[in-house]
Amino acid sequence: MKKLLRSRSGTAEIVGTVLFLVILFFFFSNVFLWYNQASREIDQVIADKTNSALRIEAVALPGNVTPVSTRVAMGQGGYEDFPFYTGNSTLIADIRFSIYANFIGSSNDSCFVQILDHNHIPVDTGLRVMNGPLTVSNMTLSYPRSYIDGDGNVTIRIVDASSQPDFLTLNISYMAICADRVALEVTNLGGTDATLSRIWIVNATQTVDGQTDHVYADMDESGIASSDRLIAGGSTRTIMLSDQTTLAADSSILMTDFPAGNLTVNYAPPLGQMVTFRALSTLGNTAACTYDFS
Amino acid sequence: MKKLSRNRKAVSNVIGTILMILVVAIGMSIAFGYFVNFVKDYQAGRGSSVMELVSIEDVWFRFNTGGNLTVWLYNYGKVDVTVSAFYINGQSIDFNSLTIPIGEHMNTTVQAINGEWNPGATYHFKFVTERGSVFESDYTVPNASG
Repeated sequence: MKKLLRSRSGTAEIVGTVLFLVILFFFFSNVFLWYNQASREIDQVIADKTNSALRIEAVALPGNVTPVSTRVAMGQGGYEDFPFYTGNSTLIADIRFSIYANFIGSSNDSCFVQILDHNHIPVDTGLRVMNGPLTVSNMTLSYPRSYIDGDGNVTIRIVDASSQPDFLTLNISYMAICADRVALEVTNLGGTDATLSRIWIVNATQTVDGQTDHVYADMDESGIASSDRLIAGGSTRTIMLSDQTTLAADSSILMTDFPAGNLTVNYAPPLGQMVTFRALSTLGNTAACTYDFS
Repeated sequence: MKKLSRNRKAVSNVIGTILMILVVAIGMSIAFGYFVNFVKDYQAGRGSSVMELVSIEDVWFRFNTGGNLTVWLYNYGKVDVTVSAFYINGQSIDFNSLTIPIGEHMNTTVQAINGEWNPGATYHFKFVTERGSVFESDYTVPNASG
């Protein structure tokens, strides 16, 4: 052993080999560490993506209500119209009718409650205002667009069906039409925050101007604050649709955020079309839903 | 000192050693340079393919523009992506390469195979990047424009 340690022959080779191995180790460990870090970064992105899946739904949001409260003198065969403004009929998801009224007359007297269709032809609702109070809350009317006229009004007509020629009093304590508007609700199904990037609007029905069948609203292009694009894990963000289409500088659909936190896509869907809405998050998650605007 | 400088013994050994050190130093420098460049190229090229993530955000089969197809891609990865090849049902499509910076959206429009799309048919789309990453999915042609 002593002899081996005293021998100097081959020392340089050993030192050189060790140094060479050190240099090799340095390079390979450098590559390995870089690759490891890159993999970890991208694994984190994929994990965040997996934990922030989206769901988008077309929902009906309660619209504004302007109730009517009045007393009206009615005569035999006479009627009284009560118009309620609802706005752009395309965006109306459903109409809800509420009434609390009574007819002050003899016990057999009654009034018919009718609703005018978009051609102003009365349609019987099946409701009768009689001596006792009529209470109807949020009766949903099918095919809302069939009741909205060209001016955006829904008209309730109350017809006196009494047999007496004398004037009787119709007492309406509360009557209202609530037009629920179509809106989009984007839900983050995961636990990691999601940030919206774009809302795609795909017209699934062929249009004359096919150039606008696939359009998108870009959050960046519209200058939407990042805090208002964020959907926290498990929460929902509502996006309204507009009565008119407005384009951004790059011909995409403009989005507005006024007041802050109230996102609106300035896209008025064409009447009679099937429209697919698709949300895209910055992590590449997508979700879609289709709504029939016919 | 004079005596030492006049001594010519072992000069060849000293020069030989110096030359050897020079050769080794130059050789190592070349090897080092090559290896640094190799690592750099690897990190910028094939090695970074792990950081490429692309989402096909919209596919538009267009009937009224001569069977064009417009595809929107979104880069949500950690490096810029250059899409260099596009295949539909395994058939290479005439396609100009497309560079998508991080977090950006880009679109490309290509011609349909045989000049038209078959409504109801499903096509397999495959995008290949310069670094060799592949992003693919199936898309069905709607019955109307959409």
